Formats: sequence, structure tokens, C-alpha cells
Amino acid sequence: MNTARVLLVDDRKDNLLALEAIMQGLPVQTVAAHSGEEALKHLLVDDFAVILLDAQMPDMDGFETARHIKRRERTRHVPIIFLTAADRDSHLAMRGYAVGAVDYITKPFDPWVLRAKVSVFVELWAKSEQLLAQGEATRVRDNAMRAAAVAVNEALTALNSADATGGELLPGQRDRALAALDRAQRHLSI
Amino acid sequence: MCDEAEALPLPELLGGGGALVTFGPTARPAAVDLSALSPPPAPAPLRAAPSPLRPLKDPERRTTSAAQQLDGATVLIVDDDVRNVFALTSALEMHGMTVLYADNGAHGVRLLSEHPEVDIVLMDAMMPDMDGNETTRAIRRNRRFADLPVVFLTAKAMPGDRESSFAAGASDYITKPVDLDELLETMAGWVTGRGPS
Repeated sequence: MNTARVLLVDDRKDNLLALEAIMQGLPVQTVAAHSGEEALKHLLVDDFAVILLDAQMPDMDGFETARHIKRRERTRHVPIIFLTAADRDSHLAMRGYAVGAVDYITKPFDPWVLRAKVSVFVELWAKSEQLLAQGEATRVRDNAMRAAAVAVNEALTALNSADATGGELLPGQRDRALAALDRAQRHLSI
Repeated sequence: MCDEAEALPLPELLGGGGALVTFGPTARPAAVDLSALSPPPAPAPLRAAPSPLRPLKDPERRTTSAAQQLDGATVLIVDDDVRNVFALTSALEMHGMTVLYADNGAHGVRLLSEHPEVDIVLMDAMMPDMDGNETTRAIRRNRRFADLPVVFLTAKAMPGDRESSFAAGASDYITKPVDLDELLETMAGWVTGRGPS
């Protein structure tokens, strides 16, 4: 199973270090981005379980970054937790929700609260990974059953050929039926 | 929900209506009905596909002929403006393409050597350090990529830019802002080997 990746986005190095420290001990791999642009670059090459996104950054701020993320089919479902210093400005939180953030947390925050929130999303991610794997296993099994059915039909055709020879099964047809059944068995034993 | 599933007879669980094997009056098994084994509907994606190298499946994908020809193609974008790239990548992915990305020329050349499956390169002309022309010359130096389509995307073209890019090995030259349909048309022309459309 892949390790869940968490994308940390903040223009301040010390904040990134603090976030990395908070994530320590969680079953995640952290990836740090110092700007919205850098975050988008990471999202172009990797998938993430959750994004911690600083709202106020120079140039591309958190809201613009989130809008780009939400516009792309491949990334629109990745949960975003906004980190904002402006606890007095509750409308910033609303702006975060408006661009599709699933949660927000105001600085200074309790590290354990953030850890708990991230854990929830990492667990959700692991569950959906599991579902994807199960879906794939189902597809493989379905293909095997289809192949087995084809082989069984071939065996039946060979056996039914006895009708044309007055109930006598020719050795060649018998071998064909056996070989087909053997194949069916192998398809089903995966 | 689980109880309901467990209560279903096996054939139902296998995704079909009728029985898989039916017995005729002589109790001889009839052929297995393959239609009963139809694959289950694909589940809605719960999140982004796990690998960036897997093309997206989207029912609303455009079905113009250019788009069809590009379905499944692998595109390398070399561009330092991530805003543009993110939007362009999103559009190309919606058309079934796999997108690889490099934010500078050197990285682009390296990615190309690691990914022989790349069908076409979209090259930004203006980049710091190695520009599009220099990057293209570096790509062409490798014989393997002598015929790889490299389509230039450029914001402001000065007189002579076009010529110097073609001299550097560009296959085609498109001016930004890029019209998506025009870009797809051009890309399809190159990917199918028809050349400039």
C-alpha cells in the first residue's frame, strides 16, 4: 500500500518546519511547498491525501491556489485545510469554504487538533485506496470468469459433437473437451 | 446493505439477471451465457487516480476526431508558468492524455530520456536559463528524438523568433493565448504522423 502524501504549503520556512514537526509520527510522507506555484507543480506529478494550505501568501495566495486545484478533475477531490492567521476575520474562512476547502484552522493553532484533522483525511484516503484496489481485484476476477466461461463452452461444443456420431465421442473431441476444461480450471484458480 | 448482498443468489452477485447455466429438458447443460458476466459498471472515482501516469476516464470527454486521435497519448509540457500548465494539463487530461511536466528545459530533457513513451512535446519558448530553442536543440541532439514532434507555444512573438525556433528543431509554432481546439488539431496532426494540419 502506498504511503499517504500530505502537501504542506506556506511561504514561511519556519511555518513549514513546524507543520512537518506536527505531522511527525503520522503514517504520512510530507511534501513542503514554499508557494502556491510550487504546490501546483507538486500536484502535477504526485497525488496527495490532503493539502494544508496557507491562505495568505505573496503572488499566488491560498485562495487562487485552491481555485486551480478545484478546476482540475484529477485534483478537485483532494481535501484542503486552510491555515489562516486572521482569526478576527471570519470572512476569510468563508472565502476558504467558497473555493472548496473542507476545513480551516486559525493560527496559532493547537498542533493536536491539526494532527487529528489530518489523521481523519489520511484514513479516508487509505479507505479509498483500498476500494480502488478491491475494484481492480474484482475486474481481474471478472475477466477470469469470462475466460473460464469461454473454455467451458468450448468443452460443451466438443462433448455435444457426440450427437453427430451416434453418441460416440471421438478421441480428438474428448481431448479437446479435457483441454478446455483444464484451461477453465486454471482460469478459476487465480 | 451487506445483508441484502448476502441474500442475493450467486448469479445476481455476478452482475447478471438470469442463471449462468440453464438446464434443458434433457438435463444437458446449455452454453454459459456470456452476457450474464457483463462487467460491473465502473465505480465513480473517489479521488484522483492514484498514478499521474494513468489517463483519466471521463464520460463527457470531447469526441472530435482530433480528440479521439489524442486519446491515450503521452504529452510532455516544458513551461515555467505553472498557472498556464495547470489549466492546459487539466484540459489535456480530460481528453484522455497523460501529461508529464517539467518546469525548466534541463528537467524536460531528463524526463524525456526517462520516458520513451512521450508522443509529443509542448514547449514554452520563453524560459529562464535554458529557453525553448536551447532545450529543443538539446532534445534533437539525441537521435532517438530526431522525429519527435516539438510544438512551440509562445506568448509574444518577435519578428524572426519563429524562424530561429524552426532552425532549433521546432516542429510547429503556436502563439498564445492558445485556442484549445486549434492546439488539439495541431497535436493530432503531429501525433498521427500527418505533420502540420
